[in-house]
Amino acid sequence: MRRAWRRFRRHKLGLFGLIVILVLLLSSLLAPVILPWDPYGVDLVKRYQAPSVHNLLGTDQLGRDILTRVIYAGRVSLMVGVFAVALQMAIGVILGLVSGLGGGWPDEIIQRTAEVFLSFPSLILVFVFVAVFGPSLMNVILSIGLFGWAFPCRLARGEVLSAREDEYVLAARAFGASSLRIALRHILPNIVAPLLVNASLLAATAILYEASLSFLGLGVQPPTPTWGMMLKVAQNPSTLKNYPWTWIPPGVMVSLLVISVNFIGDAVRDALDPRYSRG
Amino acid sequence: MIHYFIRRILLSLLTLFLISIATFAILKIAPGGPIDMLLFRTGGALSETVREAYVKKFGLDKPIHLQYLYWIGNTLRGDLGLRMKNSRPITEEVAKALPNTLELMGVGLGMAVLVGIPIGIIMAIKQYSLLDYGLTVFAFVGVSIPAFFLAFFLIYVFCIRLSVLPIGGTTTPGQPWSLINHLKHLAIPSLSLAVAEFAATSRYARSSMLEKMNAQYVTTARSKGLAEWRVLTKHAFRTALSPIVTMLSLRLRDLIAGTVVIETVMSWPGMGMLFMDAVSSRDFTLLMGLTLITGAAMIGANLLADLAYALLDPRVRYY
Repeated sequence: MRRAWRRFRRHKLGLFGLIVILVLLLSSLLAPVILPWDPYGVDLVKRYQAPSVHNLLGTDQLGRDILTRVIYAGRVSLMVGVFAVALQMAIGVILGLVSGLGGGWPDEIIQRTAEVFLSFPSLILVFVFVAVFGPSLMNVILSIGLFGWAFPCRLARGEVLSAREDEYVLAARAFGASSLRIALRHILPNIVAPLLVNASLLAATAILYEASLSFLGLGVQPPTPTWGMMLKVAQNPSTLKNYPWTWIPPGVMVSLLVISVNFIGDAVRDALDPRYSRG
Repeated sequence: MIHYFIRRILLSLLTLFLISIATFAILKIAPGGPIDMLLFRTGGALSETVREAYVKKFGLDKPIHLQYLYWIGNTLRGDLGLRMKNSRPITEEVAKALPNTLELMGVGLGMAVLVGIPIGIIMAIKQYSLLDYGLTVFAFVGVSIPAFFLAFFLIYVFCIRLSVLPIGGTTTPGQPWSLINHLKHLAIPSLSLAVAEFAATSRYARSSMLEKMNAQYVTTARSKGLAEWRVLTKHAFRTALSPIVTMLSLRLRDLIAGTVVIETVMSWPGMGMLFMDAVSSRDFTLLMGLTLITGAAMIGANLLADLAYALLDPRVRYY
């Protein structure tokens, strides 16, 4: 574990990503305390103010401070990134374990179902879900989680299939350990590594999906700010041209968060994978 | 090898069948069904005769399994039914929209292959150099930027500040169709999608190539005294290619998802815009048709990828 951490530290981009995420996390947790502006306070006198000493990133079309809204919106994205992925991984890994260890017809059924889900861009399924059941943060998290389990499931199953021939598993079986015990105590800890790497990829995708949904009005509803929704104003050509401070910050923030998550994932992979001979 | 192909084709058909059932079931079960939509549009004043005519027209009074069989039967004959919104034949709308979307996706995939793979290989060959490092960062950024933000950025730079490219649509209305004009309209939407594609492909090509470059058979080839160039192209590259092909079919999913947003932003009349239209107007028949087509396209692409994989890697054929 310590070795892995040392290797992680050598990956400069991963460190950068980690720092960005920590800063974002801290600022979104401390936001109500350190930011004097109200993200919901409509002030029609101060609409579309350019960045100034009063409002560091300017104000939006309803006079709300953009910096504050951007940081509050970060909370939404972080929540989606964490919970949607947690849901995906939970379903996927459990089904992957059952599929890989059980074999036989549960394996076939689960794999066929996974293939059906994998044949679709999950964004489309998410759209349909949100369109049918209404847009809200909960629905966004639920739909991303419920429709994205196929990828981690397939991954987990692959890992389980190769892990189950390992000697410690055979030894455990020889001792009469039940399949459940083997799955939880022996196999699971050993397949965590590649799953974690993919979790970061899933998180990046989930954050991008949330942004797309909110951008199209199908995600979190106003007045709660979210980066995708803040980008929506850019669809108006006059806003695009004249008030770039309203849409550039949220776009940059989404990109930054996703890049950081990707960097971390790459760093974790390099740290845990002995195949890449990096001196 | 034939055995492998037949097995893959049969499995694909099974998956397609399951998809059709799933699509049908979900849209039938979902709240806010077609009758509710009609009620909404007429403001609640729905006379019995109109209601019955509607129900009869879309066959909603028949038992569920018969509805499904009718739908499938018609689809196989090329008739996807009528849209609920304006009763236009779905097949016609799809036929109009599909080429536009294929254009966008074609550019995306084309760039992924023509730009992404060579960049990835260069990164692998010159590993640890400044070039590799810089390209890696660039690839990461490319993958992480949401396509619509990139599109806005490009619009800002090229349309508003520089006035070089037009903002939306496929052609400039009022002018006769010209290739140059069309390409100008095509530039921003397809580029926004393509960046993510070739960024992802280049990273994957890099790691795949790296893996093979250091493999034993390559070292053997080098020790035999073959020219480095030959070693790389004939031995390392050929085997590095097969995982890349598999990955491309995975990227197809993201491409399709990407077209939905980009087309809406840029007013590009393709399947994505059609899909958004269906979602916002709760047009269930259109949604069913589109979902089925998308699923079929994905399955077809996966099948092609499997075939290509088998052709490239002889070990796979006896599976």
